[in-house]
Amino acid sequence: MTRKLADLSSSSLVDLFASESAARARFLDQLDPRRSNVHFDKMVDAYRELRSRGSEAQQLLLTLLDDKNFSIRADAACYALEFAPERALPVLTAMEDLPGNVGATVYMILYDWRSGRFDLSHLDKT
Amino acid sequence: MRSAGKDPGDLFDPSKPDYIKTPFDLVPQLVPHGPASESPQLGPTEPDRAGEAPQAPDPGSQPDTPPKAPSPDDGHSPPTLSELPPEHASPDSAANSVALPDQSPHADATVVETQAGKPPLNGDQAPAANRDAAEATESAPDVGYIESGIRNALQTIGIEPEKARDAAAAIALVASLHPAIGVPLGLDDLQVAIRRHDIPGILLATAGFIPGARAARLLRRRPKVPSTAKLSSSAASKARTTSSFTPKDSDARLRLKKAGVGHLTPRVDPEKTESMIRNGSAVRDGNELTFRSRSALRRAIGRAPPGHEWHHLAEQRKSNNIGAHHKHRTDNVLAIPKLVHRKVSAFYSTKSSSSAGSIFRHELNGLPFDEQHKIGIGVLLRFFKLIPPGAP
Repeated sequence: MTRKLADLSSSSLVDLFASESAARARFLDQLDPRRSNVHFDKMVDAYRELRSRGSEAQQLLLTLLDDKNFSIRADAACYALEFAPERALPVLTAMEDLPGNVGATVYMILYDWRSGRFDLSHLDKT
Repeated sequence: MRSAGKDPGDLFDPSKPDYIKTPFDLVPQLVPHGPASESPQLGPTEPDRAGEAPQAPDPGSQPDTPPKAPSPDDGHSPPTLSELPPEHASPDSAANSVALPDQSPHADATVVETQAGKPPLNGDQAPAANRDAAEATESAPDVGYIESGIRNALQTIGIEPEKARDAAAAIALVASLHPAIGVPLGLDDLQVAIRRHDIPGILLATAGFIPGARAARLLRRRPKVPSTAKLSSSAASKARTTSSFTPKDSDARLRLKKAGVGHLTPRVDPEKTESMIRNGSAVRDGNELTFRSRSALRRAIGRAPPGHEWHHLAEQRKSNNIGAHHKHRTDNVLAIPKLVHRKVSAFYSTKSSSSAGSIFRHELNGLPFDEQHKIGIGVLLRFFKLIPPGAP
């Protein structure tokens, strides 16, 4: 998997991140958290690879902050908090009161951020 | 008996003077009758001394009995009937009745009428029943009395007298350590069962003192649940809504109410509540009730209304170490529509990006109750799609 991701271009990784994020949200809407978590892991793998390529590659994730899919927008903003909080926070704040899974996810992200418990240490695991 | 020229069959013939009665007739002789001042007999009951059965000490004068052990809900003593709101205590019920902790499946009545009302039993049993009502709330553990009750119960089911005596002594020894070893509920069960001459109850309550035999106590405590087939939905609904105890609005409820969230607060049967407070299964905490376990909470609040399920704002799972007194509070439980409940549960089972990729419910389990409660409301509000201004 890692080798396959390494073969992808940065923009392809961003696309993969977006598709896995959308799949994660779709399965969650279908009340299937197990399959949702599978796509969560794939989404994290994509961002981990992107992150390993440096700041320039990471900045590509910011293009997803305007995605029409709120779930993709929320996931991208969550990871963007570590390198571009000034861009990510307004996006998250605007989505905080959305109904359903997106709103609840953003609420939890901001709760962790504001309480100082925001933790992306899972990105350091291989 | 044959050597004395008597027919052994006379022992079982009620018309004969040697009739020994049934074991169930013999056990009530343990119950005090009239003014008794003797300490209870600790040794085995000899057949020819059946008429001198051990007398329980007078509740008013018990110099030798151990000091009254603190009840598990010390500091949260249940209010008297006069302290209850008007809907709890009607003038009639307050004057004439005392609620008993009804745990025995064999006891039909939970309320025994006292002086002003008619006694429910005839003859000698009536004063004993009235004494039961008074002692249910006042008596201190009486080890000798308990030992006698257990011994007779064991003999009734065919245990040899010596073995019964040894076992009863051992159990009584455990009871004498009450409440340090954490068996106050079992002891209460046992005392009540002995007073009621409830042989199966005595045996099950006794089993509850044996480590690992908690299941037996739970079995005994399981309430009679009427078959849903027997209850029409309207009758079941009526049974739920006729309760007069509804917790007042907590902060959580006020927030949800302001948001227009369609939830229902649990309604608790006041009789059940008083009984559960008395036996230690519940504690009153301000306007709320805290239950000792999930099953106790379920017993008190019953099933959720049709189309709804009970939802715990702070997770009720064992892995959540906030304690049962937080999990099973009336302000931590709401009846919400099934679909919303499933959505919230699915959400809590997904992984969270912002907390090291752990599952939401695992992340919450490490937080204090107040935070879990606050987050629980925040998440629930989003699933109801009605977000009030300034929501958590």
